[in-house]
This record gives sequence, C-alpha cells and structure tokens, in this order.
Amino acid sequence: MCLLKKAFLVHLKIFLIAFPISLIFVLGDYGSSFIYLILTFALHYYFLYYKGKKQLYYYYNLGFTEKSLLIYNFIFGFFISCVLEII
Amino acid sequence: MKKLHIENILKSYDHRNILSNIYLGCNTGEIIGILGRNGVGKSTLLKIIFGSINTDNKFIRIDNQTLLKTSEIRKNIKYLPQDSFLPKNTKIKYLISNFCSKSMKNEILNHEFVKPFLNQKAVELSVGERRILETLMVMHTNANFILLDEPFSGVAPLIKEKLKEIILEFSKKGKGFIITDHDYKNVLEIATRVELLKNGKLKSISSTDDLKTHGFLSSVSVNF
Repeated sequence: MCLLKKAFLVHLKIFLIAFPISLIFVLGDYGSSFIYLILTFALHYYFLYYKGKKQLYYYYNLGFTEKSLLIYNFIFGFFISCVLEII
Repeated sequence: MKKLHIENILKSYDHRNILSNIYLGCNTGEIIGILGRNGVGKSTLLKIIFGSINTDNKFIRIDNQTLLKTSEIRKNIKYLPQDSFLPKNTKIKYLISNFCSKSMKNEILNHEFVKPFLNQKAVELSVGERRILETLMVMHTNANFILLDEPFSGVAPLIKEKLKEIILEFSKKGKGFIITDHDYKNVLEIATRVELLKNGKLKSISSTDDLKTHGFLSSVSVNF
C-alpha cells in the first residue's frame, strides 16, 4: 500500500471528528475551512503525541517520519478545507 | 546476503557519554543479542538506529548503500518497541492490511495464531497475544533487518517459547535481528552473536562466564 493511501487512513480519524464540526460552521456561514485546518493540527498533535504516543511506532514502522506525518495531514487538511470553502 | 553496518554512534546526555563510537554489524540470517544493565542505553541504541532519537553522530548503511534519510532507514529496518504499538480501537485485520507488505499479507492473515483475532480490536487482546501479533507483523514486512526491544519482557514462558520459534523461523528465511532483553538466557539461546553494552561500548560475549567477568551477572549462582 503506498504511503499516500496509508497517510489518508491516518488522517481519517481526524476527518471523522473535524469534518462534522466544520460543517456546523458552514451552516453559520463562518470560516469553516479555517476551523478545519486548525482542528487538523490540534487533533494531529492530540492523537499522535498525547493520546497515542506509544502508537507512534506503528506509524513509524509504516515508513512515516515525524515530519512526513505532519506534512501529509496538512495536505489532506488543506484539500478538505478547500472542499469546505466551495460548499 | 546483505549486511547492516551501524557505525560511529555517539550519544551523550548532560555531558555524560551513553554511547561512544559504537560499531555493530548484522548479516541477514543473523541474530545479534545485546545485553546490558538498566539504563546503559540498549533501547536508546535501537531507537537511534531506527531514527526515532536524534544523535550527535551516526552512520548506517546496508552493504554499500548509505541510509541518510530516516524514511530510507524505516523502509529497510523495522522496530518492535518495548510497549505495545498497535492502535487500540482498530480491528486487527485492518491493522495488518495497512502494515504488512502485499506479498506477505496473506501469509499472516492465514497464520494459525493470527486467524482467530482478525475481527478483534488490539485492546481486546492479552499482553502476550499482542506481543506475538506485533512480532509477527514486524516480520511480515519487506524489511531485511528487525530491531526487537525487550521482546520477552512481561510475557509468560510459553509465549517466550513461541516468540523464540518465530524469531528463529524468520532468521532462517533471511532476516537479520538485533535483540535487546534482560532475559539473557533466552537471548543466549537464540543469538548467533552476543554483545554486552557497558560504559558506552560493546563487548563481545561468548559464554555466561564472560557475563560474570563483566559484572552483568553475579558470580554467585542460585539454583532452583
């Protein structure tokens, strides 16, 4: 499985929480894309460095580095933010 | 046959040298045991090799290919940490599908030990079951070299036997292992070469007498 696909699966957990929250802001006509990006970063650090610190080695063994995990999450976060902006 | 060369590893904390100019070579099919007292830097050494701890100096290559980037290292070397690394709330079958290489995925999914747990989550498994599963997962990858950090700690004797069988089976299949553990008897049993980490340096060990000489074991033996 290529790294991009694996990275999407890592981002999926963030997406499942951040997307519904951001949608609420779409209804209120606020900056939902910005909210999604902020949540992406917050949940990235929460899931990987606070709640799931021991599980980091699962992702490292998949081939990720600390930097690449952050970059992939940012890329997916940015892409979904654009989708929210269109909505 | 491939050879992993780990050279010039240097690590210091607060002006104290934990590891000084470590050299370690590991061929595929070889099992290298690293012993040492608590806090001498065994786990640190493995983490430095894997790239999860930064170091003052390190040089890692496989044959003539130098591994400069951490991503290159993690492609060729896998690491089993001391603590369970499986995400708790994901089903085992999905964890395996993401983790293991395509060519070896079916083998592990049909493994007699893994099969009953496929629909369970990691959190539902016992410590020993998780340890065997993690060891199997790390081995069913394309990596030629595997670092095992205390694989025998906290597991029952029967599980230890099973783990040893797995390690020996995969070393025959051509994987190279570097193992650290306090359970020196099991390490001595399976290792093709044993090193003792003391005062930041590695010393070759050929028998339990050497371990006594270097102060890893007490010279007074107690038999049960």
